[in-house]
Amino acid sequence: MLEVRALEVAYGSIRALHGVSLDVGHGELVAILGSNGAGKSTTLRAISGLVRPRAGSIRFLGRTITRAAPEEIVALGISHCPEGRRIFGRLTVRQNLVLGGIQRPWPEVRRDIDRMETLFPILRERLNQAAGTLSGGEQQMLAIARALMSRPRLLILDEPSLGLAPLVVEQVFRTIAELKGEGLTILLVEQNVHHALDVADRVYVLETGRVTLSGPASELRHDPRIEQSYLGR
Amino acid sequence: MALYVLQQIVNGVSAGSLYALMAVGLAMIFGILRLINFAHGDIMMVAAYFATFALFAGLPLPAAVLVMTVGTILVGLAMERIAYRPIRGAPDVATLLTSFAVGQILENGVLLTSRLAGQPIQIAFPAPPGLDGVVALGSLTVPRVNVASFGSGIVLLVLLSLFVTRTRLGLSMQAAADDLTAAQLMGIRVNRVVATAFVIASGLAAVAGFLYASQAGQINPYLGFTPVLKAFIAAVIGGFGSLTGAVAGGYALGLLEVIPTALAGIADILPPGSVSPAVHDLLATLFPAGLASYRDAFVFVFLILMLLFRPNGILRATREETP
Repeated sequence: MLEVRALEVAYGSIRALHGVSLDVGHGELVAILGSNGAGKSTTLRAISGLVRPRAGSIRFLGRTITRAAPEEIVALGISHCPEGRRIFGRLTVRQNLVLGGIQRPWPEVRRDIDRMETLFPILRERLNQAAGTLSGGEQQMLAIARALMSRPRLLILDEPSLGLAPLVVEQVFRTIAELKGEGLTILLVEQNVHHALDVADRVYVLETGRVTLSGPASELRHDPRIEQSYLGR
Repeated sequence: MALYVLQQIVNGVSAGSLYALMAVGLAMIFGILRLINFAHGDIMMVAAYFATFALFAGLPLPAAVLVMTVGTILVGLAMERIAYRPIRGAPDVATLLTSFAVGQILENGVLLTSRLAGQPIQIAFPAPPGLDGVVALGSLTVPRVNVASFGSGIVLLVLLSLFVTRTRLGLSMQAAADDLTAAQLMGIRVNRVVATAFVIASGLAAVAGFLYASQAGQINPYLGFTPVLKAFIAAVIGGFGSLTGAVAGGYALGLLEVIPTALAGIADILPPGSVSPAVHDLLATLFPAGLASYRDAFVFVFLILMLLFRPNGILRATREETP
């Protein structure tokens, strides 16, 4: 579904990615693991068109999207739920959801808001509340719901458990598992290795802008190299 | 006495409408692009010239207003496309200087066009007949222009608030102002949103330019300077970038400005015998008849106090930054 090949990204003279390649197949949940600054978020930003790669290619459903604009990539079916949630705090929960479906016809958006209410019951009673007043966990749920409003074929989640209490993290991962159960393809970046390995089918480990390890989550779960990559050796 | 106060309030609110129309445009563009568009006053000036030449050409008022609005919006769009889009994301100093350059180009462009058309620098504005004279509201007399300023200000700002909160394009604008990256990830077309902001800002500036010219009775290529400063102050009072704040700031500034005028020579306006001679003398010393000419100084002192004590605007105590 998604094929990333030899991707290189640089911010000015600082090279963030040195030839990253990865694949995500239909219905798969693929996790990218790695320590801070390994290039995980940069990889995601390149996929969703926020940064232009210096070299390499990105193909989605057989189409090259390497240099496409973010709105074109959303239209093709990739939805990126960014790190730090980035909800629109001064707008209401409902308005946030409407914006998530900005490219879709209005009747469908209305129907999907109802769907999100059933999928995320905590949002139901807060629809007309300013999103900035929600708790961290509720904001994360809203961010995921908002990302789903574009009816993506590939959902990208960047650090969905960041800064959340352990109980809330459990809840977020239950939601991710549910979405996977519905057949949604997911590309997940996570610092929380154990949870990521629990839900993922396959895993890539990034270190200083390179893929250093990859394979099925079941095989890597007890691999000592995973832990090493986090401790930075 | 009550009548006198009421008269001043009416003046203040009518000036406030103009400031609000201008400040909203500044705030809207700043909200999305972090650009302080000092050329906004020149957009208003361009509108006054469009209206003047349309009226000179003998167009009826509605047609002249239409020509003016469409023309001004096109100039605003061209300004965004040619000057601001190529430097989007550049450091603030670069965008600020660009806006000054754009202002200079507009002023000189208008000057040149006006000269080529055989007009002097200062042109008498052909005030449309409908806006001449005064309206009597009870025992209050209000210039028609002020009623028009107030009315069109309110109508346009209500329409704007409906647009921003009730339409998806308006919501997209708010989202882009809140978090541009997140807005892009929603699939919002940022170029379209920015263009919309310039269309609305220029359209509102056009109306403000028309009303300003009707009030002043004459136009010149530099007429936008003071209004853009006042709009800037209004936007600061409202907390820069907030649309509601800019509107509130505009009206607050309009009312603030009439205070020195209202207080000037207050001792002589009070009915004789209503206060003791000592109070009368005190008032005469504190608020001499010449106070009105310190209006701008008064406003700028207020601006400095605002920046010192409520830098986030009167409406927002502190702005919470989301990470």
